[in-house]
Amino acid sequence: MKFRDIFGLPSAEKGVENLHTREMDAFADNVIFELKTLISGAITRALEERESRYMRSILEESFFSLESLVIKAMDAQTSRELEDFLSNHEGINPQFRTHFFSQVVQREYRSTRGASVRVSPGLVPIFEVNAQSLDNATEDESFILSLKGRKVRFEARAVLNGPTRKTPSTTPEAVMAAPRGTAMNQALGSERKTAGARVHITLHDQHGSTEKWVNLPVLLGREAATAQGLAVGSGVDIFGTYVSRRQLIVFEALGQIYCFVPAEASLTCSTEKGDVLRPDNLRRLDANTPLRLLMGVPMDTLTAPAERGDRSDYPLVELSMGTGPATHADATPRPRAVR
Amino acid sequence: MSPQCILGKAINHGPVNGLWFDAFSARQDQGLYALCDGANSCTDSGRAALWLCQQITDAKVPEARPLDFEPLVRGLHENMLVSFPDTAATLVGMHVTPLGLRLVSVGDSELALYKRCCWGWGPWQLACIMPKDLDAHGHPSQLIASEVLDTVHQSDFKARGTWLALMMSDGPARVLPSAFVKEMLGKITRQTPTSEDLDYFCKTLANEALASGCQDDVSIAMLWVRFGKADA
Repeated sequence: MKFRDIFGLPSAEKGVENLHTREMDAFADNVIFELKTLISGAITRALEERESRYMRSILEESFFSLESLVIKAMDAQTSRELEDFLSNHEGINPQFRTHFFSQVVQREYRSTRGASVRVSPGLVPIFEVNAQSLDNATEDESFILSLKGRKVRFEARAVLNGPTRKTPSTTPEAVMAAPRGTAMNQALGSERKTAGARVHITLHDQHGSTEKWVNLPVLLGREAATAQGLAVGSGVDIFGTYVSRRQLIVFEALGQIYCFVPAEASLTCSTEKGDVLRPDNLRRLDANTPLRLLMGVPMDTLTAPAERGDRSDYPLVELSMGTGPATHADATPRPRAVR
Repeated sequence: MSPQCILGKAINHGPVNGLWFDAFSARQDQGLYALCDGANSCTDSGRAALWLCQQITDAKVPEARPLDFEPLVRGLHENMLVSFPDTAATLVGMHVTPLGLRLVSVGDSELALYKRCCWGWGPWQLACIMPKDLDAHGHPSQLIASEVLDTVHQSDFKARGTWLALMMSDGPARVLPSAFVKEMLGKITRQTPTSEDLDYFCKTLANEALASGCQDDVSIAMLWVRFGKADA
């Protein structure tokens, strides 16, 4: 009974139920707070150590990447508790470790001198146990800890690489901006890709037949190559009446090449067999067979219109992986004496 | 008084499946630097290029005068014809001495020398590009260890002021826009750069060459040289 109850005063806590924090939740809360502070300190220290070697102008236009993060548990109990905590949760959710550390590690860290560290979303710290601290604390150690009041449970070490230039510079092909949060944005990615997978494109449109090799990811559509925006991929123009601005995305994932019509497109296209490509549905390119897509299919039809013979109205796009241009086509020959 | 030299480099920086036909070597105590690019039509040229640039930088330098590259290169050429048959390599290099700079080039790699204009207060200005030996098809007309070696190009520059030598294999030299190179050099201010600074500029140029579609091996080295204390 509380003092308030004796005098019949209304209780402010009436109807409120106190939920006791479970031991594991308390551990998680404490550990998140401790790790956040520790990791931030370790990354900032690594950054400050490296940034002093670079000109300020370089630091302002570039970023460092977090290559690895090693967290060392300083005693056996902490190590055991953390391992139990992670393995218990991983039993329920296999992705728990990644989710847990995404709360602990920030996306970016900055120094006062203008340098920044970017952390890859998939980075999971490496856990190490301090072998010397595997024994339980002795009586003297426990006494010292009780005097100090707080026990340091972890130690963190960050390794950075870079710096890498932030802003993309000139590109040989036009660049495109993809609306955020769309399938197109995910396919094109948020960062500029370096030359990697390529696809051979043959266009039959108002300008006749043209063919080219382009780096992936690529957006095909009306005025796709001339649109301006953030550098996230290349663009190829299709000249025709019934073509959307964002008509087709071709990208590479895990060594395979896929294409799809983004949901933003007002028209879709069909294959040679008459299959209509539904928005945001992926179609894999076959390494041996070129994919021929005929433009100008309304989004709300399931069957392709029959009369689409005029290429200036209904362009045809042919995508093939083919045999790419030789990697070293411009191999330097050995000069020979003229006889 | 010995000049102050700072070196930065990005050698065989890409592409991912590159052939590693470029090689670089430096002996900073002797002031010798060499970048060689093996002809990638000959399988063993990468090894030959590495050997060549190491021989250049290991050369015995004369006292009180710059190294004469001509007899050295011709001797190595004869040696390579026997040791590395069916190979060929370019050479761009330099010897930095208290008396000045000596530049050397054979083949189609690029060696450009920049100097700060307006008594060291202005931007970097191109002082010299070493001759490139190219035929009508854009292929090298002479290479070390090939059937043809006619001329070993050499140029001398005085021991005065601040210089920046930019060495590139032919791949990045062909695709890099001069405006981008100028933009990068513009970031090297009057402040003495560190080798990390120059490494960064070399890597940025190399990344730009790869992004511009360079399929050849990409190697870039930068040497910043300051004679005396005055920055003029």
